[in-house]
Amino acid sequence: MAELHDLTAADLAAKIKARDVSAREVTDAFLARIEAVESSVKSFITVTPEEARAQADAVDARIAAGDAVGPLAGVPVALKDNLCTVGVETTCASQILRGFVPPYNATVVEKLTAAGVISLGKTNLDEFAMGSSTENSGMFTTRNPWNLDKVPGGSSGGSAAAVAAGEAPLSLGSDTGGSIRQPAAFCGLVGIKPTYGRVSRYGLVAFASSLDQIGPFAHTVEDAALLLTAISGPDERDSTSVPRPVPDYTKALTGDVKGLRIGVPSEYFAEGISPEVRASVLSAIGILRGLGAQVDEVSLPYTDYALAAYYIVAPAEASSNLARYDGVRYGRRTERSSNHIDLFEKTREEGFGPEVKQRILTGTYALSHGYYDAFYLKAQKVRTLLRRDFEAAFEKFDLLVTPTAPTTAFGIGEKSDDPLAMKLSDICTIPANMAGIPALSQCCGFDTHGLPVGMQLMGPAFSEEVLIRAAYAYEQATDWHQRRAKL
Amino acid sequence: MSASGQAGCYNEAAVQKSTATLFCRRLSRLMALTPDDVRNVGSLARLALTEDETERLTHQLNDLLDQFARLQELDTDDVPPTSHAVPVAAMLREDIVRPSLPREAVIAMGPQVDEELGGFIVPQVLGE
Repeated sequence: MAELHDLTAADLAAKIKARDVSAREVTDAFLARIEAVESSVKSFITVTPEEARAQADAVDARIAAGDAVGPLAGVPVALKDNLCTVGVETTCASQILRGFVPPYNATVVEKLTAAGVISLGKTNLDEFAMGSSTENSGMFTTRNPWNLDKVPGGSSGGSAAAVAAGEAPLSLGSDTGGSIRQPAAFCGLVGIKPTYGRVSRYGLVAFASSLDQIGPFAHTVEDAALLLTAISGPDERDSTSVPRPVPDYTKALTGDVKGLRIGVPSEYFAEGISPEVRASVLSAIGILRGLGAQVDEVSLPYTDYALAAYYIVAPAEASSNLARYDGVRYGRRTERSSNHIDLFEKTREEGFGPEVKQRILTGTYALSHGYYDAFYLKAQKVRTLLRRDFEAAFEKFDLLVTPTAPTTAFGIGEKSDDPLAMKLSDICTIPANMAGIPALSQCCGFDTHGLPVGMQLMGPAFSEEVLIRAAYAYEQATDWHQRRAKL
Repeated sequence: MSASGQAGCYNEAAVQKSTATLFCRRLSRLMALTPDDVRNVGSLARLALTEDETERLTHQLNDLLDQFARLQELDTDDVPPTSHAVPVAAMLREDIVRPSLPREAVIAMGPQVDEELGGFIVPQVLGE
């Protein structure tokens, strides 16, 4: 019989509801798994066993009393450490926030707590979510459970590794340029970046406010759909959340893709995509065609400019968002200051890591007087061109299928000295953030070294149901999602 | 503003002059960003940089600027900018007075606070 930590969230929830197992037993099983494998994987910055057990006992009490509980009651989750949690340190993997214990919860955390979901702790990330491997974490580097010498991807690498290692059945990440989808691909999971505005960003520590979205990691499409349903919806504390009712995304698990129009953008299969990744994704597209989807090629001619535009827009927003870390209201303060300017400059010098400093400087430069038009305004105009590319494609297609990342997981240290090579890792995922559209990554095979390959599905704004429908149909026709990393 | 005139927080004239100079340099491609330019941007961002960092960042920023130059290939004169991808009006909540976080909770995380007065302590700003 499979161990509890190998089960899907849907199976765990069903067992808890049927009283085959208690929420407390499930929580204890995952805490034991964390104890067993955490020293080799290093997914978590903070584990909260006492809080988790107390939450689990409360859920068990509700079930024993016959109270109606939600579809994920008693199921554990791991939270990326850029989501604010009352009473639990929230660091963004940055030394500048060491010791910060938020006085309020992120909206997604409140929603999950109300749904009886058990939080196991806070996962590692690239500092302030800036990176693609967790090597920019100000704490430590997380390892890929499929091969401990490889990165788990990033920035939500801790959240991805936690699920892939069986330390949690579900987790939440955030995605600004691929930070959910690329680690999902590297760790053989389903990861969803929802439409901008679908999920409240309240309590998500801001990186680039016009691009950030919170989303789920899971072993299966069904689990991801359950978690997405639980966290979506408008929020009066996030003025950019969209006032639109939330469907039950599990209703999209029909397995039917007959007549679905799938576009294959040639620009995403160009030079730079590894032959093994290309072959896996094309073969997956063949399976979708076999299931009745109509597949045709499409062109998104401005794709090539997305990376450059993103590396202006995201740092520009970051330089503004990260101005708040000044050593006055929270986090670290320098001990070397002689006046208030000195206090700001030295606190930030000591507290931020190299990648964050680079992005703050890039953003400050791009926004500074005399450069604004040439860089920031230009990038925003290119953003319009990228959006129009998608709008034109979605007149003819219901969704687009591409690789999630150009390669499978790379080695720890392999790209850490080459920032540009690292950034190319996000080349397939950045356009969806720039256009605000939803995108899903799922496993579509393994390379010759046994590392997972990710396939990306992108659809028009608020088409999450279509993505989930297609991904579920593909998943039912294959068995990649049943494999587990051996640790 | 300090007595020396050396910036309360922002010296508009100096910033305009230095950034305008930088811009001309980039456009004419006479030279790339220098370590001094990078230190200047660092000071705009209130970020002190060590010598090693300045050298590394000068190199990295110049690499990025080369990438950005590609965007100039595109004619965008008639293209409106996109600041938010999903065009919706900002959602506003009812304008009703409601309790905010208690003051103690807000100052609890400050590195240096005065609990009695309920405030954050910073180095002297006026009349240095």
